[in-house]
Order: sequence, then C-alpha cells, then structure tokens
Amino acid sequence: MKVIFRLIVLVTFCALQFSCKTTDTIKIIGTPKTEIYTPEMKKIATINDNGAVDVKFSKRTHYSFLMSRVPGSKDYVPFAIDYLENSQKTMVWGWTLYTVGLSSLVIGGAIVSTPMMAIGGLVTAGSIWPICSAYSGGIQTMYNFKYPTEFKTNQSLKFVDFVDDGYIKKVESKQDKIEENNDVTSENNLKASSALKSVISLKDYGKQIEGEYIGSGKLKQDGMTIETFDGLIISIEKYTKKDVYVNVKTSDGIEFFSSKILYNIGVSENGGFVLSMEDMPSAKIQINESNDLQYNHPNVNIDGDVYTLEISAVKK
Amino acid sequence: MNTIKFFVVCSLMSFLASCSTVKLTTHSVAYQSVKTRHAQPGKSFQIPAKAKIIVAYTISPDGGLTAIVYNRTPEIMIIDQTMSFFVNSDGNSTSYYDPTVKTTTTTDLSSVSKGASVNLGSVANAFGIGGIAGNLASGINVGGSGTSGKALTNTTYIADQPRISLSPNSNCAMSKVFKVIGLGKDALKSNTLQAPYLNEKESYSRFSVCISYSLDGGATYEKIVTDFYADSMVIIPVEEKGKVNDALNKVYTSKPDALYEPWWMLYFVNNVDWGNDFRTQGVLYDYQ
Repeated sequence: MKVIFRLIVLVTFCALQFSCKTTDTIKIIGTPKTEIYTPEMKKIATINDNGAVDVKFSKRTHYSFLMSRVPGSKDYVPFAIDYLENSQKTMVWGWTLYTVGLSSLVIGGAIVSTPMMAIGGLVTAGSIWPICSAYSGGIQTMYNFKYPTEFKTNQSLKFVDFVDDGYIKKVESKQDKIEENNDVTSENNLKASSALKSVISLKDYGKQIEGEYIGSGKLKQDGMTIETFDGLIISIEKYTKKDVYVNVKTSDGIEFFSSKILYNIGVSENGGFVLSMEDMPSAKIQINESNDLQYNHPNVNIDGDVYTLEISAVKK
Repeated sequence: MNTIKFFVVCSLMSFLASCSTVKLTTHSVAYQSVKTRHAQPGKSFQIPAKAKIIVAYTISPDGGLTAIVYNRTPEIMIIDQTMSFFVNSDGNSTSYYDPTVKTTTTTDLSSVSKGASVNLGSVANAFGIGGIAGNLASGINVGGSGTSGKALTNTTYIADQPRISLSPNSNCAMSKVFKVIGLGKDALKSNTLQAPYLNEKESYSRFSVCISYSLDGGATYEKIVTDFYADSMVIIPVEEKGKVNDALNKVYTSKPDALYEPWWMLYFVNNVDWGNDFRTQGVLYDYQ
C-alpha cells in the first residue's frame, strides 16, 4: 500500500511539474531586423539575420495580434495570432492525477506531514492548494487553446498609400482680405489715377477646360494591357479658376473612382494645360490647344490590385 | 469503502475539469475607417501657418469622439459651448453645453496604449512647424475645470460650462465625448458590410461637429464645421477555426491602403473580451 501511495504521489508530482510550464516559445518569421511589438507598443523581439526569432508567450496572457516594423519604416503592420484548439485530455488527466494525489492524502486517514504535501507544489501557511496545479496553463487552459509553433508577419503584403480625394482647405486671414480688397481695381479707379498699379487677375482656366471629354482607355499592369474601354467619359468640373474636379465614367455611367478628384491646372509651354493632383504628382492630365486630352493615373486600385489607367479623349 | 471514495472524488474532479471552460473563438476580423470631407494634412500639404484654430479629433475603440481645440493666435479664444454641436449619424444634434446631460467620461489623452490617445506626435507632424511639439505636448486643459500646464493621464469631466476661455497658444478638450453611431467595436460585431471604399453619399455613418469661437472677447463668433464620414467597413469571417491571420490578409487584400487612412480601426471579434484585441490609429484635423 505504501509503495502504491508513494508511486501515486510521484506520478502526481511529475504531472504537476510538467504542467508548471508558464510560457510557450513561438517562432516568428519575417524580414531580418524587423521589430516585433505588442498591441501596447512594447517591443518584444527583433528578427535575426536568419529570418526568424523565438519569442516567449506567457500562458497567462493572450494577444489577438502583434505588430511588425521593418527598419527605416514608420509603419507598424499588424499580424494576427492564430490559435489551435487545445485537447482537454491533458487537462483532465492533469486534474485526475492531481486529485488522485490529493485523495490519497485524505484516504490515507492521517494528514500527511508537510514535506510530502510540499512535493505537490508550493505550500504556504499550511495550505494544501498548490499554485502549480493543472490550471498553471492559465488562460490557455481556461479557454482551451494553444498557439501554433510559428507565425509569419504580414510585411510581404502589398500596401499602397491612401489617396485623399477631399478638397484642400484654404486659410485666408483678415489681412489677406484687406490686401485683396486694396488691390482690386476697376476701370473707374484706373481712370481716376494713373499712379495706381494695375493688377491682372488670373484667367479662368477652370471655365476654359471644363466639360466632357469622350474617348477610349486601357488598364495596364506591369506594362501589359489588361483591359480596354471604349466610350469613356471624363467630366471636368470647374472648382476655382485654377482647380477642377475630374470624374471618369464608363459608357454605362459607372464611375471609376469612389468620388471626383481635385486637380490643379498648370499651363504648358505649347499653349495647352497640364492638370496634376497634389497628392500624386505622377497622375497627370494633359489637354492641348485642340482640346485633345491625355489622361494618366498610375495608381488605380481595382479589387485590391493596382493598375495604370490611360485614356485618350476629345472634348464633346 | 475507501476505494469507492477514491473513485467518487476522481470522477467528480474530472467532471468539473471537463465542464469548466469556454473555448476561445475568433469569429471575424473587422476594419473600418473614417475621413473628413476635406483633405487631411500630411505628406502632400500641411496646415497653413496662418490657421488661427486647429481642432484634432480622435475616436476611441468604442466610437467615442473627442475634440481638442488649439488656439493658434496671440489672443484669448472663447469657445461657446452653447453654440457648439455634435450631429450624430442619425441626425440628432446635441449641444456641448447641456446642463441636463451629465457625462462621466474618462479620456486618456496622453497614454499611447489606448485607442483614445491623442498621439501628440502626429499633431506636431501635421502642423509641420518646428518648435510646436513642445507647446502641444505640455498640457491639455479640459473644459473650464482642468489644470493648465500639466499633461493629464485621465480626465473626467462631469460639469458643463457655457463658455470656455483658451489662453493664447494653448489647447483644450471639449467637454463631452460623443458616441458616434456606426463606429466602434459594437458596430463591427453586429455588421457584415463589405465595403472597402465608400463615398460620402454611400456611407453608413456621417456625422459632424460645429465649434463656435470668438477672438474678440465674445463680440463676434465664428464657427468651424467639420464633416466626417466612415469611408469603409470590411468584415472577414475566420473560416477555418483559429486561422485568424488568413482573415486579416483578406482585409489587407480587399483594402491595400487600410493602414494609411486618416483614422482606422482593426478589431478581432472574439467571444472573450481580452481588452487588447483592437488597434485604432490616426487623428483627424480641421483648421481655419
């Protein structure tokens, strides 16, 4: 009986020791020197030159995601933490072994001396409740999950800049308004005093180029034409003398973009116009003196892929 | 008899062990973003140096909108809360001064670990003016009752004042944090919208703020009105149990500019609220 009892206690002790592990070691794979952060922005690792790093996850916490940042970048890219369902058998056996150990202490009749109780875990103030129980799996045991052995960051995915199609707010101070009022001249003022400076007001280029332009276009990617369109309509709407809103629609009236885009008007040397976006200088529209329009937008996002849209059109 | 006791105890403990847990389940990965009708300052342009008022808006993970007003003039700025409003996406308008509405809100204005943070570094970068970061970071005055010159980590405002005075080149958080309908974790839990790009007309959440202020001691008031709208919502279910990063990858594929919207939120919809299963990023600015 004593031999069996000691055997049970020994097995219980071993089981409890095994379940005392408080961390998991997970491998994170990514670009070397990528920094890894918790959601609280605490840096926890840097990926080694071999493209991987081991990170210890406490069993008492859970992260839905972590973040990575490549060297030289200001951007933190979240990557999600996958999980696996944890088998209940380990937990049940752990409890069973623990309770067998506990039961044997009780069934034996007499309260076992302190050294024997201490084998089952840390005993404080005479308590027989071990800290290192089957629940030392912490949150993972409570919620029946465990982590896979490795994760990958999402740095290899293609991200693009956000194109803000909102209008740029101008700020005019009271002083600007006073100066503007003083500079405005009229025929009467000119006649009144030859010493007044004449101010030539800007030409209304916005009004000059506004209208609809109809033509054909191509969607290109990596130099290859992916799709062609006929009957495209480019609507140019005056916003100010030197800004216009541009919208592109198919012949069925379907808009290419979620909203119209603001372009600034510049004058080209050959007498035509060059329209450009502040946020994307490479996106240009050229209109010559004959009102032939060449449209080029290198960053059109369709279903997650980026294309270049080129259109040739003439004014309606 | 001892044997019977032994088996009863073991069975009871095993039974309790096998019944005691909830399985972790991540249902989906959800994303939403908000922008203003006007373009946000950033890489391509900065807030003009002659702007006299700048308002920085942050949105908490629960959809709470906080406005922080910056007085960029050498004059005392008076904000009239009775003439300042929040208009929610259901059209309801609430004044910033409403003695019948008592709010106990905690706005964490300096911690970087919570979604409601202002992230004053972003504010300084948007201004693009050297030397301003120190002024902005030195203190947030809340309503008319906060302290000045000290950064506050937790701010509770439970009383209203009709007018608030801002000293020259200082800042203040408006008295209320308004919950925007359609934004935040609750909205993302209960929706299944797949819309990576929405214009203002199509948006499921359009809201605005009007702040009235005076720079001549209250003789005349001007107002700055900011129109916001949610310009995306993408919710991808976790199809294979536990494969959460696959769902997140689909969010990124559906919206490759997700991480660069002026304000965005990512939320991992679990059956257990861990408290760290979301990320919000961005501050929205208006200026005049």
